[in-house]
Amino acid sequence: MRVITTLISMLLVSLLIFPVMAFAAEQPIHLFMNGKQLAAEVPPRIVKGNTLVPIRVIAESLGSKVQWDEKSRKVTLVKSDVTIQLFIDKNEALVNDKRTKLEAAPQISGGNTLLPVRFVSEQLGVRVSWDELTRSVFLFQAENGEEEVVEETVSSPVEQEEEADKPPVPVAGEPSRTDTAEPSRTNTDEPAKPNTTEPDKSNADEPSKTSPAAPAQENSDKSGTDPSKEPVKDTIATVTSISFEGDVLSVKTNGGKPKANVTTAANQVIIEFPASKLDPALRVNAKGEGTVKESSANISQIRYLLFSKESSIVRIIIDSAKKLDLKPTSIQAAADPGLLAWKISVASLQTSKDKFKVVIDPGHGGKDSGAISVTKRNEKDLVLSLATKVYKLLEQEPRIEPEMTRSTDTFLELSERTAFANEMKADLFVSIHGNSAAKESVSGTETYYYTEQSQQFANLMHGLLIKATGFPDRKVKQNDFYVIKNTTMPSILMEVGFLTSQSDEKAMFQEAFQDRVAASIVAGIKQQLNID
Amino acid sequence: MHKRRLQVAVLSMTLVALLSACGQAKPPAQTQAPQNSTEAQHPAQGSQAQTSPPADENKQMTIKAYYGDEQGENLVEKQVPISFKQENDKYKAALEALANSPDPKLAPLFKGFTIRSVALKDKLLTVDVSMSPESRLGSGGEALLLQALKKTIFQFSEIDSFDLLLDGQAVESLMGHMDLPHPFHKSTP
Repeated sequence: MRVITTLISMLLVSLLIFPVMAFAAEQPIHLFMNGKQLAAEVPPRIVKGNTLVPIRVIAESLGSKVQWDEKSRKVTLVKSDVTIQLFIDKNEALVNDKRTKLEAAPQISGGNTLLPVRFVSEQLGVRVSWDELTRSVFLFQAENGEEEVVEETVSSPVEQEEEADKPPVPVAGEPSRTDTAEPSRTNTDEPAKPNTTEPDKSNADEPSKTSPAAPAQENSDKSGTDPSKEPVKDTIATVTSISFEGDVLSVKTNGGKPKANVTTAANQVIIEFPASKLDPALRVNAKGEGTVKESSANISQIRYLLFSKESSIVRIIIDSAKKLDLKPTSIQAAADPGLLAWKISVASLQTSKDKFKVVIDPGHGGKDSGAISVTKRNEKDLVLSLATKVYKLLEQEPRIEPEMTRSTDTFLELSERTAFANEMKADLFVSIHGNSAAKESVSGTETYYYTEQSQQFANLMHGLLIKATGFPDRKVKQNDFYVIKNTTMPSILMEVGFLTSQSDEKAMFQEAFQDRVAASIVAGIKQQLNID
Repeated sequence: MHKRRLQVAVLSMTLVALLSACGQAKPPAQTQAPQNSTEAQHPAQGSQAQTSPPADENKQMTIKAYYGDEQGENLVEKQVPISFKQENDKYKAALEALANSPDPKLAPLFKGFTIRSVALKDKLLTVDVSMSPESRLGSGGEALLLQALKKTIFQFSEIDSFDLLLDGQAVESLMGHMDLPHPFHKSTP
């Protein structure tokens, strides 16, 4: 999450150059909602600088209702009081019955409808940003009126000043701005529309709709003298003390429940208190900065300052050699509502991850026998036996922490299996199944994946699996099975062989066969994790 | 929260299904379905006479039914005759057609199922089934079966949604691979 937010902020700038680079690369595009990666059944694509994503992802992650009208090829999205009507292959949409130009038309591809994610998201009040480096679209939705944390990374004090007076929301309107600046360039693959100026007009309306913060911000830019233009004054809080003890940073405020936005960068953490001022008791130097006493080995210094006089933001900056991790502690919070505290530790680096969690999921179990074999043996027993072998081999790997969704003959809902893996933030998920067909002649091994991030894992695993089973190659396939659709990490579902095939079945229940297949699964997992 | 997510998931799945059909050039099922039902009353009857001599009170029609192909990888559409006494038995007869393949090369995906009850109310068809352990298919087979059921049921234009219950329960999954929405919604008209 931290890494993601850092990337987002560092690359907000890249929004500006994004349309130009749209056709530069063919790498996959990733989608994230509040930092969580979303699975798309077909890869998102870029059209004229706009990312188009499958409608399912939009509807699911933005919580909107969807209707389809075949006759007019119209998609209607409804969320609270916003209704958006989009038409396949048309560059015009209706937002609450008001005509709005689109830079990229919705389209149908491979049986999926793709919609421009930025347009739809912003109309529904969801913030969007694009990261060119990782080719990722980030969506931010404040949940249940919860305060949205505004992230920004700052590398020098000069930039800080500039950014502070810019509300973060209007960034969302940026691509349209760049697009209109280069109409000829972005529209080259289509004949120029007679009224290319219209997008300007419609886009101009947008920021006011999507960023209520903007007008207030403008006022404070002009001058802070007119009290009527400074609503922040009403709710101002005072930071009365800042202390650091035993790895815990404590900040006391008065003036109601304090809000703080934490931003973590490589060697700096910034905590912002909007609508706050510093108590005069907190000493500052000529530059307006004060320091907090600390003796932590991980921290270079802790500074505080009234960062922006106009909008009255107090900032605490923690400088460090290593990337830090802040966890809110709520020990005293109940006793003193004005107190905020964070436990500070050195963040573990993702690049040098030394332990991987791998979830092995034996299919079925309990009342769900799975397939019944030609000799009346159960799939659930076969896959448990095989999965246990895999688990035991993985246990011997120093860098792998294996987990099983079930280690006994018990029934688990599919949703319990995925929740198990998602909640522990597993690195890989491998579901083991035995196949069954209505015809005895069907035989072979197949491997399924669903999310794009799983495809490569499926390919490499399947190659090893086929060698181990010696069964006919039924290939790697994509299908929306629950456990591979609803896991957030790379995940596969393997059908080792057919229990309904005489020859497959006979082999599968043999110890040597299972040992060989288990070893191949472990080899696939290790390859995927780049171990050895 | 969980429930809402589920709803959204169901909704969007439906939509995906619906839109995927829209992407195809072939006109989707429903436009043909009425033809079938009207046709069925007259010409179809004649052509079937030699295969299954119907009892006088039985109604006859030809429907589209779906089976697994030889390798169990794709659905195959077949025109099959069904016969039933009451209009309401039509859906049961149609589903039962999926348990018996007209071609030995094709796999009857619905084999081993027992239909406990079928009820149509407010355009929602509720089908309660029992399943023998032997009818449990692999992941690919389950996916094909659900498709076959949907395609078969939704060829009837009077049905908008379809709820499949297992022993009276709205189970999360029929065979432990696919989620089972309650109900399925008609995709493309």
